[in-house]
Amino acid sequence: MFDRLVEEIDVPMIRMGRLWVAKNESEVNTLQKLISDGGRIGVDGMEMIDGKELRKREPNIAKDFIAALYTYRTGVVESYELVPALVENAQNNGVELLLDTEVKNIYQKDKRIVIEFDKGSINSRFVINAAGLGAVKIARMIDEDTLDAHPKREVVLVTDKRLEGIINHSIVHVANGGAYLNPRCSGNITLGMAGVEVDSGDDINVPEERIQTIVKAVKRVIPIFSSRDIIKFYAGVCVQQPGEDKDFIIEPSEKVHSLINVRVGFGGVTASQAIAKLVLQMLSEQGLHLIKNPKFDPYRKAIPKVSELSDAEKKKLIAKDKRYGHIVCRCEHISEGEIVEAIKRGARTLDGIKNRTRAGMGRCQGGFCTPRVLQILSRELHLPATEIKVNNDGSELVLFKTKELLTWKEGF
Amino acid sequence: MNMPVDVLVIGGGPAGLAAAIKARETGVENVLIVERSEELGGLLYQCIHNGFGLQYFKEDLTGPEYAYRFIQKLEKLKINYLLKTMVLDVTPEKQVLAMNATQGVIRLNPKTIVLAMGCRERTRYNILVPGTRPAGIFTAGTAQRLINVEGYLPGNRVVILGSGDIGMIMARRLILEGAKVEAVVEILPYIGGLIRNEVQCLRDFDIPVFLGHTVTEIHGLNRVNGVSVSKVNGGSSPESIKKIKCNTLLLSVGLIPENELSLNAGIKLDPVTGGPIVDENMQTNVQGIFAGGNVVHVLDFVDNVSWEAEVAGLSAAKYVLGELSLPTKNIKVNAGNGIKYVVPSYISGQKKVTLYMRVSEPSQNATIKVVDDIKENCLYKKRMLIARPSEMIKLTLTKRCIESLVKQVKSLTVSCVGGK
Repeated sequence: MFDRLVEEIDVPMIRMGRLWVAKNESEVNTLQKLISDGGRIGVDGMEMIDGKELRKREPNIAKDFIAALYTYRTGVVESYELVPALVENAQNNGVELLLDTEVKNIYQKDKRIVIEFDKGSINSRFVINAAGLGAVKIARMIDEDTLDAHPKREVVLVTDKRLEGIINHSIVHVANGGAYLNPRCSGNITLGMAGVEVDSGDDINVPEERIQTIVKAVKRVIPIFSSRDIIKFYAGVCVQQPGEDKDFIIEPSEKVHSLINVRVGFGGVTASQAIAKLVLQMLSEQGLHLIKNPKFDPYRKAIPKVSELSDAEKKKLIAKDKRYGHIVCRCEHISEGEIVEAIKRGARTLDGIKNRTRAGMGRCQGGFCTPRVLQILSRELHLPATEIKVNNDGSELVLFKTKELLTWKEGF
Repeated sequence: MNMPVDVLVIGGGPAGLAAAIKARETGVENVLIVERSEELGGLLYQCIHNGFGLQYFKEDLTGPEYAYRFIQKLEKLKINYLLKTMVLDVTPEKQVLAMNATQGVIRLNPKTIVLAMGCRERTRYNILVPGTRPAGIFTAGTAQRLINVEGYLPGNRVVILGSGDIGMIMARRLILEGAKVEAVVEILPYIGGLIRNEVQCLRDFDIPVFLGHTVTEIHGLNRVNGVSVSKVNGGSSPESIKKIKCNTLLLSVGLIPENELSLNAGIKLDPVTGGPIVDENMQTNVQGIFAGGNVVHVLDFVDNVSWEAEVAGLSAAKYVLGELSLPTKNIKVNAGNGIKYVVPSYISGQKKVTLYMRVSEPSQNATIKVVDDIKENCLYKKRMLIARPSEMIKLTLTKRCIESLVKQVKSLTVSCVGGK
C-alpha cells in the first residue's frame, strides 16, 4: 500500500529491513515470541539468523549479540516530507485547508454537526476527528465519557550524515529499553528508545538523563557510535490509548455516529493508509454515499532536489530558473529555487521550509541559512521579518528591528 | 563554464583573500577564489567592532575595514573571484564541482587548491544542552549576522552560554541595542575568549558572569521563556539551580573547522583540531592541496589567519611554478605536556618555521620547550608570564636552530612545563 502511495506522491522511502537483535537466551525467547505473534497476524518475510550471520550483515554490531530476527519488509519514510506532500495532493484535489484555526466546540444540530472556531463556524453532515493529541478533547465535546489517553514521550537523537553506512538495517535491541537505530533516506541515522509516560501532551522537554541513557543504550548495540556524532535531538509525544496494548481507537462516537473518532498512537504513519480505508468504510456505513471522483489525481511531483541531480539535469533546471543554482543551505546543499518553490506550495514558516526542503536540517542546524531563509520568506510573503515564525503562533524568530528598543529604553 | 586555473582558493574570507594575493604576488597567473556568500571577506563582514589588524597592519581596524584592505589589493592584482558560488565536491584528483545561478554547473580541474573554508559554530546540540526546542536559540555568529547585517534584534532579554569571543562581543552589541543581557554562563572556571573582550565587553557593562556553570535546561514551548543554570559538578539539588528568565539564548561554545570538502578530497584530519594535518608548507596529505586559516585550526586573531594562509598561498604558487622542494624528510611535531595541539604537524628540518599552538589550561610562569627525540636537546625555550588557552602561542624555530638538528631526529615535542 505504502509503496504505491510514496511513488504517486514522490516521497522518498527505503525498505532496508530490520534486525531485532538479542544478546542472551531470554532475549532470544523474546525473538521467538515476536515470530509467533507476527505469524499470527500474517507478517511475512521473517527470518532467524545467528550471531555469525548477524555480524556479516552488520559488521559494527557489538560482539556479544548472538542472534537476530530479520524482518525484510521494514522500511522508513521521511514523515516530515510525507505530510506536506499529502496535504499538497489533497489540496490539488479540492480539499480546503484552514490553518491557525482552533476548534472551540462541536455539537449536533438538525442532524448535522456544528463546529465552532475561534473565527466563525461550519456545519457538516460528517466529521472525522483526527486531532492527534487533541483527539480526546474533541471527542469529549460530544461525549463527556470518552476515556483518556496516556501521553508518552519519545526522545530521538539524529546523527551526522558522515555516519551513513555504519549500519545497513534498522536495528532494534529487544532488551535495553528497546534501543533502536534507524538509517534514514537522507543518510542520517535516528536513535532512540521506547517512549516513557509523561503528564502532558505538551511535554516535549528533552531531559539530560534521557540523552545519556539513549547514548549508552545505543553504544551497547553499536559501540563505535559516539555522542559527538549527534547533530540534533528532539522529543515527540504520542499517546497510548486506554485498554490493554491498544494503539488505535477508530470508531464512530457513541453519542453522535456521524462523528468518527480517529485516535492514533505509535505507528500512526505506518497505519495511516489502512486507517483511512477503515474510516471510509465507517462513513459509508453511517450513510455517506461514496462516489468515485473521476477527476481525482493521485500524483504529486516533489520539489526538485538540485543536489541529487546530474550535471545535465542541474544545468537544465538552472536554465529554467536560475535560483536553483544559488545554494542557501550549505550543509544540505539546498538552493533558493527549492525554498521559493516550497513557499509557492504553502510553506509560511522556517519549519515549513525545513520540512519541505531540508534547509536547516544539516550539521550546523541553520546557523548559516536561517538569516537567508528569513529574508526569502519575508520577501516572498510580503511580510516584515519580525512576523516570520519558526512554527506556531508566538514563535517569531526575531522580535525587533535594530534601533527599535533605543527609543524607549531608559538610561540611553 | 570551463577555465584554466592554477591556484583555486575555496573560500573568500580572510584566509582565502590572503592566500590568493600571496599566490598571485609569487607569480602565478590564474588564481581564482570561489566564495559561497554574497560578498568577499567572510565573517569579517559582520564583525563591525574594532580590534582587527593590530598586528598585521599595526592599526586598529573594524572587520570590514580589515577585509577591505585585502579586497582592494585583490582588485589591484586583478584576481578573479566568483561570488554566490558553492563548491559542492572536490576529489583527490583535484576535480572540482561548483555551482551558481549565472554560470550554472562549473567543473574545474586546477593545478592546486587552497582550502580556506573557515569554520562553523558549535550548536546547542553539539554540546547536548537539554530542554525544549522553542524559537529564540541562536549561535552568537548567527545573531551577529541578524543584528549587524540584516538589522534585526533576536530578542531583548538574553542569556549567553559560553564565553567565546563572539559571545562576549555580542553581549556588548546587544546592550548597545537596548537589550538586557541577564547573564553570561561559562562551564569552565575561566573565560573562554580574549582578556580584552572580557574587560571591554563584560566587565565594562556589569554583565553577571557565572563561571563553572552551564545551562541545564531550556524552557518554553513556542519561544524561550527562561533557562536553568546549574553549577558544574554541583549535583542537581534544587537549590543549586538558578532559573533565569529570558526570551533569547545565544551560544558561544566553540568553533569547528569546516572540512566536509576536505574529507571528500581524501584529506586526513587531526582529531584534536578538526582540521587537515599539514606540513610546514601548509600542504595536506594530498599533494597539491594546501590549507590555511580556521579551516586548519581555529585561530585567535585574524592577523594570524592572514599570515598562516599566506604560507598556504605561497606554497601553492611554488607548487605551480615547480619551485616547491618536497621535504627530503618529515619530522613530526608532537604536542607534549600542557599543549593541546601544534600546527604544522610535520616540518622538513631544512628551513625556518613558525609553530602555532594552544596550551591546555591557563598557567603562570610556565616554560614552553621544544625538545628533539634523540638527545632530548632543547631547541627552544621561552618563559611565559601568563599562558591562556584562548591566546595562541606562536614561536619561530630559526634557521640556526633548525640547522642544529642532528640527522637522526624523527620528531620534536613541544611542552608547557613548570607553570602554576
